[in-house]
Amino acid sequence: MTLLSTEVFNELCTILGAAYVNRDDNFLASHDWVGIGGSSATKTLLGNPPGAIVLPSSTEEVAAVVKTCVKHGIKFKAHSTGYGNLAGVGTAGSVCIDLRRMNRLQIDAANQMAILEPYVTAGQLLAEARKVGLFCHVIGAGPVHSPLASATSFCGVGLPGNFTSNNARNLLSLEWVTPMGEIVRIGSAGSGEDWFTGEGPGPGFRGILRGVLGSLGGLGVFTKIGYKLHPWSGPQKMELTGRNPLLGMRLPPNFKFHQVAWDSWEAMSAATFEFNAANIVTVMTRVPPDCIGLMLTQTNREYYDSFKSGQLPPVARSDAGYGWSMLLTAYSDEEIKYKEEVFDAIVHRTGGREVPTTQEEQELLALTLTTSIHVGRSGRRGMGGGTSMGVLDSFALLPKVAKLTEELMEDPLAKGWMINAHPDQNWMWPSEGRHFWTENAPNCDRTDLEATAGNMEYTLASFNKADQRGGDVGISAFLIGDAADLYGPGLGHVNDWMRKTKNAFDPQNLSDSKAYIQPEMTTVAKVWPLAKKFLFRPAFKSVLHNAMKRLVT
Amino acid sequence: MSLQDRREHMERCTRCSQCKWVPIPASKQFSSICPSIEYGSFHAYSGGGKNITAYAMLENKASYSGDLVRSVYACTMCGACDTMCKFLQGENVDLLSNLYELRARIASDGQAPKVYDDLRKQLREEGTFLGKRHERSRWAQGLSIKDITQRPADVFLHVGCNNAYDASRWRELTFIVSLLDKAGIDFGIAFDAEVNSGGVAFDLGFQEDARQLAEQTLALFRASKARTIVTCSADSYATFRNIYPRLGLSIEADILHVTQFVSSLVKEGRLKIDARSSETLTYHDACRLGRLSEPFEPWNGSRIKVLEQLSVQDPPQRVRFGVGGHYEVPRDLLAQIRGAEIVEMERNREYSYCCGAGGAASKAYPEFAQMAAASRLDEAVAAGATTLVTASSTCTSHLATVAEQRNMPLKVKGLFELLADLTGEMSS
Repeated sequence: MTLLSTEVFNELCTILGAAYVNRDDNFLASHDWVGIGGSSATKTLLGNPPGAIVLPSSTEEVAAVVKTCVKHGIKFKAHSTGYGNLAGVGTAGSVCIDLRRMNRLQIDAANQMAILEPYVTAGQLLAEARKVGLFCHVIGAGPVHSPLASATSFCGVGLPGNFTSNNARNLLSLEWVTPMGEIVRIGSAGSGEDWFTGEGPGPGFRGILRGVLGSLGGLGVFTKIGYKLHPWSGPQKMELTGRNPLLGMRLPPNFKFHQVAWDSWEAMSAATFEFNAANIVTVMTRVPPDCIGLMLTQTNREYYDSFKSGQLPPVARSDAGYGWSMLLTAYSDEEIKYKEEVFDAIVHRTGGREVPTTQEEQELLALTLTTSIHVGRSGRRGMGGGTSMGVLDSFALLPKVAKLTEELMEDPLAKGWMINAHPDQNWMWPSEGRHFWTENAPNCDRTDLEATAGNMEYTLASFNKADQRGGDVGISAFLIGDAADLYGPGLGHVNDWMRKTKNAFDPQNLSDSKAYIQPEMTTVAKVWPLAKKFLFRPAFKSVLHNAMKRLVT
Repeated sequence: MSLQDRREHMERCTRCSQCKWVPIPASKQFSSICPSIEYGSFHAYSGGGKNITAYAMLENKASYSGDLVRSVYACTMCGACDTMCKFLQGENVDLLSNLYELRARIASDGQAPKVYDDLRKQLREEGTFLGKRHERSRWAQGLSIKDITQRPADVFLHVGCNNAYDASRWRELTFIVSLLDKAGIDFGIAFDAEVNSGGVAFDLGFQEDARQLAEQTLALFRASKARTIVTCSADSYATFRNIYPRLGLSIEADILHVTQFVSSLVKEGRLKIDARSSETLTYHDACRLGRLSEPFEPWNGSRIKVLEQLSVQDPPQRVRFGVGGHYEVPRDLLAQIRGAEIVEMERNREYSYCCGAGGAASKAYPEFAQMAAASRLDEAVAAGATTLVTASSTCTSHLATVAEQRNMPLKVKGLFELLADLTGEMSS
């Protein structure tokens, strides 16, 4: 039964029309579902449904909805394509502002940018951008995600980031409905100009609103952005190969795929600097071998049978080494020839080796590198799991980070809490050939309480280890929700800045802050500096584990 | 099978929303793969949303309402969400099976749209929902066709309801009959004894009605002793291959769609297509000739955990990815028309967009069915086609009606209707 009063419901209907407001139980349930890896729940229906779902079609309608919420003191949360655990609201009875009807898209080819609304998907944007020789960044969630949501409200790292950057940097000018319901344009659009820059002319506080991670719905609703596009030397229309579900892309003559490996993280790290200096690689991504195995197989059963019988291809085996999937692209035969020669020289000089791949594997992995389309298959393994601290930092840290997280996985692996394939579940996604993102993300069956709690424990232990080491494993970039207060003090007191921003713009705390930061420190956060000194000691392992079990139940 | 039996599969939905989209769109305009979410907009209309509805019902967190019923039934059960779910999730969710059981639950609770009460009554009384039993073979009046219920024949030519009752499709039927005659095929039809094959009842959740119709159909097939069943109906072809196995029923004879049969006759040299056209043609993959005709194989097993945390089917289950449908043969037939340019729509084969005709959704939600058709017709025009061709009479009738309503610069033709237009007859 909805928690929203009839009075508020009727006001929303007056704003949007009754067809675009719903509080039917089963409609609400579809925004109460948590289903993707990394979620901290063993159940799917959280028992935390919104009070109503609204479908505005314009910024003005969004603003009117927000003002109604403010007037009645009701929490609200924006919802774009609603991927996985970000689909729900933080507080039962909130108004879910589903932005599905706001899907306008304009490509400004000459200026290599797009102007888009929240429900434009990356797949749609890619399709239209390619027609004019451009490309867009695609985060790991794949073509169904909303570039606007990623650019304004979350981290925004992704597989093609070596040439498409990350979404914090792809965001240009933006339109924002504040938590009080005001419409504000930031950057060039704020001074009545076009959407080409986020920092003026016009008000320029893009960094305050999103920082590294974004506010995940905690600071109002973003309704329109200018968004960078990137030059694309590939075909205007992607020619697909294979059949469902093993799709690939036809590699034109000026595209070359390579799977390269070294014998150690150190050698891989050193070689990466050489590749970056040479500036010859378009996409450089590391998908853990187990996940490549999932991408190359159609079902879990097929994956398991191949694994057990030793039939997984070299690229998907845990002994594949430490390396990158690489895509070299060029505008001419001469250019690709030059890049290939430099590539060969670097691989040879750094002790690397080419991992053999078939044409089908190359085509499938090239499609993944450019569109992230197969990444969701990693969730096929169980939809539960953990992740390491999520480091956004220099390639030099790669060996240290990878080894540290693999050590942390030893105990939960021994307990059977993670899929017992290999402790190397390291995803690595470079950004602009400089910084890189990595997280070591194991999976488990979400319905297994012990395992789900164990994976949460691993995640927390990983954060703690990074905190203890005072930054020598890089900037931990998963400071969302409660983690912000737990580990923000070690990272420039970012939580204090987040809280100041939150309280300044949202004094009534109505814009859903479940995944951002609470207006006040929680009790757990207050006692954490003391608690963390004990909780990670061997004697307190069962205490921590039981606490995690309570958290995920 | 019951809704409760599907619980574990339902729980594995990641809510990724891939069920709403083709994997790699070629344009923004034609990126959706689900007419239902396009129509209803709320997530509950998507395949994943319906899955959550089903789960919420099991958890007593959803109660019957007009919205619930509309979100479930403003849908053609085209299977696109299932194909796309499996793209990422493999065997985990098996969405279409969940949706069949969701509808069965709603129907058994007496909550299906009331408009289907009449349909069901007519199916029981007349063996079809499109007319009277004694009108079924009006199309064959004046033709000399063997009555297979009276005299044996090598081939049982199964007609299908839409073909039999929609007079605009009769030309295709008579043309098919002329082809089989020319090729010297010993065939017959069941005239008014044929009944609906049961697919529509199953789609709507009336599984026992579907079983009764299926058993009547199988009894006819068995009594005929025909070695080959050739159906002119895409709907029935999908029913025979995908639905009957779900009911635990099987057909002992070979089952072919008429396009397959005619194509084989052409390949054997028993028929020759002598057609010429200057039109630009595009082929619409009917859902029930495409992904929904991929055979379903009953599976009796369980999930086991391996590698500590990985859940797999034991024994392995054959997963329907939509690629086992019937895609190339109709295209091969079209390709034999000299002079015609054939273009593909962006969404084709297993990623085809449903035209809104299937599953009797148009009975309850005609505006939904029209919206889906409009999108498909626009896609054909965008592809540069002057004629859209399909091998499902249900699709042909529906698309032609909507194209006419919208006054579109596009002709809609059944495949054999087009061949009849271009050849007058096929030479033997």
